[in-house]
Amino acid sequence: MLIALLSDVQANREALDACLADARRAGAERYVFLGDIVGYGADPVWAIETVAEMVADGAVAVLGNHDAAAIRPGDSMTAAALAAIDWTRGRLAEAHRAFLAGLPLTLEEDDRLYVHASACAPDTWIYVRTPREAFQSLQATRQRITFCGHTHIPALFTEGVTALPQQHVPTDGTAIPLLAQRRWVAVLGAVGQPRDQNPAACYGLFDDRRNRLTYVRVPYDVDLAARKIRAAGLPDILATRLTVGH
Amino acid sequence: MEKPHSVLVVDDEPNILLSLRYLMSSGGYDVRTARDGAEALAEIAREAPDVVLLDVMMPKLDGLTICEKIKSNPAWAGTRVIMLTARGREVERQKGLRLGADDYIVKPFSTRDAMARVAAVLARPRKTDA
Amino acid sequence: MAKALLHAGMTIDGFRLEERIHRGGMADIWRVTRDDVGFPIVMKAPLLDFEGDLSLLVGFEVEQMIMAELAGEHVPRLVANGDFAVQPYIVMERIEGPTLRARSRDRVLPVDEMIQVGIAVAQALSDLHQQQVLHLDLKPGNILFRPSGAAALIDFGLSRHERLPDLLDEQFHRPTGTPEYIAPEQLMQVRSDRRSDIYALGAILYELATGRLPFGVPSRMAKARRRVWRDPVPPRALRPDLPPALQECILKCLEPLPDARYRRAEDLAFDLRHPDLVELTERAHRLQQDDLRTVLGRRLRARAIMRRILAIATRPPTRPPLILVAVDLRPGLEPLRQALRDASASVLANMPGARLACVNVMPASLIAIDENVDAAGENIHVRRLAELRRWARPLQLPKGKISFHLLETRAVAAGILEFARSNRADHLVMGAHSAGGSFAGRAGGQIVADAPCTVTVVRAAEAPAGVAAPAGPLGEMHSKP
Repeated sequence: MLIALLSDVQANREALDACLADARRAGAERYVFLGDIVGYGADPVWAIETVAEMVADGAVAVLGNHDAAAIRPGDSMTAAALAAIDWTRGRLAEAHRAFLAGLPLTLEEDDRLYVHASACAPDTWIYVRTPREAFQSLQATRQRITFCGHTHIPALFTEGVTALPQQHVPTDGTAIPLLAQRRWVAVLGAVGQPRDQNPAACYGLFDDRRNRLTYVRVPYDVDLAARKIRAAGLPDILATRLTVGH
Repeated sequence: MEKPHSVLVVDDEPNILLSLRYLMSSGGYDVRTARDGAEALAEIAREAPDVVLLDVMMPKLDGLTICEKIKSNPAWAGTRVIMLTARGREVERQKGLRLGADDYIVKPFSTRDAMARVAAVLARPRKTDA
Repeated sequence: MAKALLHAGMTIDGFRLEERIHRGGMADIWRVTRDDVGFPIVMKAPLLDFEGDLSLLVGFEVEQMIMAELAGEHVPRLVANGDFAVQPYIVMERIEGPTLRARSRDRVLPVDEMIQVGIAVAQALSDLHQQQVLHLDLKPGNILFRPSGAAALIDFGLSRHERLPDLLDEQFHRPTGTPEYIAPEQLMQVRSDRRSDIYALGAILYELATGRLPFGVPSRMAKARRRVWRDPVPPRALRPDLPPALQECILKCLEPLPDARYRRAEDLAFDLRHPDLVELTERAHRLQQDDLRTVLGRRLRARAIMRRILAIATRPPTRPPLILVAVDLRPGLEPLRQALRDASASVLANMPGARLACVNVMPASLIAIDENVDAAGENIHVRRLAELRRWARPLQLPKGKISFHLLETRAVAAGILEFARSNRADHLVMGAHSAGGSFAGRAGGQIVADAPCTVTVVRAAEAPAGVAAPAGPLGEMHSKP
């Protein structure tokens, strides 16, 4: 089965549309959303309704920190993030909030774990950026593969023979074998706000039969997404950073 | 109506294949491409083109070796060979011509010049066996 | 997790172990059979009685992973990888016939045979590199020959796939490889330079040509550093009938600085095939090692040389060049747009690896502020992008080589220049209107004047009727460097 992994949509309609089209073309049979459906982008309502519809159809989703902040004000965030979340809250109806509130922090499926950030204390949203954090996350679960996001930067960690996991920077479009005798933490890049200097949207395709993970980059109409952010009156930095991928 | 002349472009650099394929077809030729010597020979065996634009430095089989194979096969006597080289050394040029190449283009090259040379070798009478 | 000791007659996953044909330090090789496999096969199984040297096991993981990615006649065909949790093994095609070590043991090869071997191995290496795998432990014992004469490489336990995780990276705090053939950068645990394999091939060719190793047999890996400052005895001093061109090739492979070696295996294969074309430098005519004073000088600077080798071998890959083409989508400009397309193709032909960014400027006055016009604004946006894509379609560039951008700005020139600067464009292609003095004409002049890169300005060709002559660029205007 081909599983599409979409993390950090961040209410970016153009990016999500592009990724879903690409996943459909690739033959994805299952869709997994790894949190932050809403956030810095200008289409939170559309994003929630789209994901909710897919979940009703069999997709799964976990909660991200921006999703949590959209329901429950008071999380510590940057000024731009606060502005975006305030604006987002104003657009959501009760049904949207209910959907977000119903999302679990983690989800297990076969030998996989889906979570927004580190599996260790998932509601504290620890960034998995280094081998140390990957180790911490691996300790917190028995699942062989952990799929997460939150950093907006693609990375892959594998438990080796020495103490700390090895870090690998995945190359786009390569089907990486997640060797069965090892445990892995796959940090997906962001669909809606990449931060690895590549403005193309990023999502993952996991083939559970061949046990291979591909990090996919999908160029999308960045200028339109940026324009919508400006038109919504959100901080300009949230628009310009999309064009750079930072 | 006359059948358009066929051109085979052989180079391991994708940009050369892409742009020459576009320019040659705009110029009215029937264009095929190959990324290395082995593919080139397979294409020629399938259907011998009128002209081969042949990169010298390639994986699997280099262009000079391919040129020699083309020119030593009587079945392919009608195929003209234009060598493409990034090195442009005189000895290499001479060896290519000695092996029977019809012309030579040094990279970086003017695409207008490349088109002109293709037209020129096609205009010449075919080389018959000596 | 105890695994049964392997013995003849037992069956694993349907493979029947017939006889052990090789006992190595790391693994045993068994001749095996299975009903559904019609060609001779062998099973490589690691010795699991390792006390503390976990690198052997990781090497096996690496070999399993990488052999699954390789294809073609230059590697054995993989049949099956055994489950690590049960019994790790690799079953692969058996390539009969001696290794290069067996073939050349106690024998100095005639020059012609040496060249043929060199070409065969260089081609095998070239194929391996094309599949994005670095061998990193090339030696005569790891090279076999098929009846066709093609070389096949084996033993990928220390290899590296350029796009997959490097399971051996930084795991053991010491370099891996074989001291007789190892490249200097590998001594510093660099596992990402294809030229390391070329260095090893040079050492192999040296051995074939002279019967001696270029740097002897270092007793420890640390002693292998000598090759950074001590050049080998020139092969022709040991074998006078060796053509100078071959000495040139061998010594070029053995240059300590990776930049000074062959860049690609096929370049070495070319020189071996066309020795009459090899450019002979003083390297070709050397008959002595460098004098003691020179060597001492290098030895004193050894650390600096090592640092330089490290910097060269770990240099980040250069960003692919970017060609920016500014396309005017207004009606009536079809001939100009055709010329722009031709010019783009021309520039692309001469910039290996370059990508094309197609840009259109959308005047800011079309940007809407209120809701009603917003939808229409979006429509214009979408339609313009579609038109831009349509313009580019005849070029048939794959997705990774082309991108499309709409710039919303009132100032056309400034917008294009800003885009060129922030995206670090290496070349700019734009059209000029034949009717001068227009708004676009002024913008064009400004762009040429202030561009951060070469600019090609294109005019529509006046093609005679009936002939499809591709329009050429008007000319290249170089702006300030």
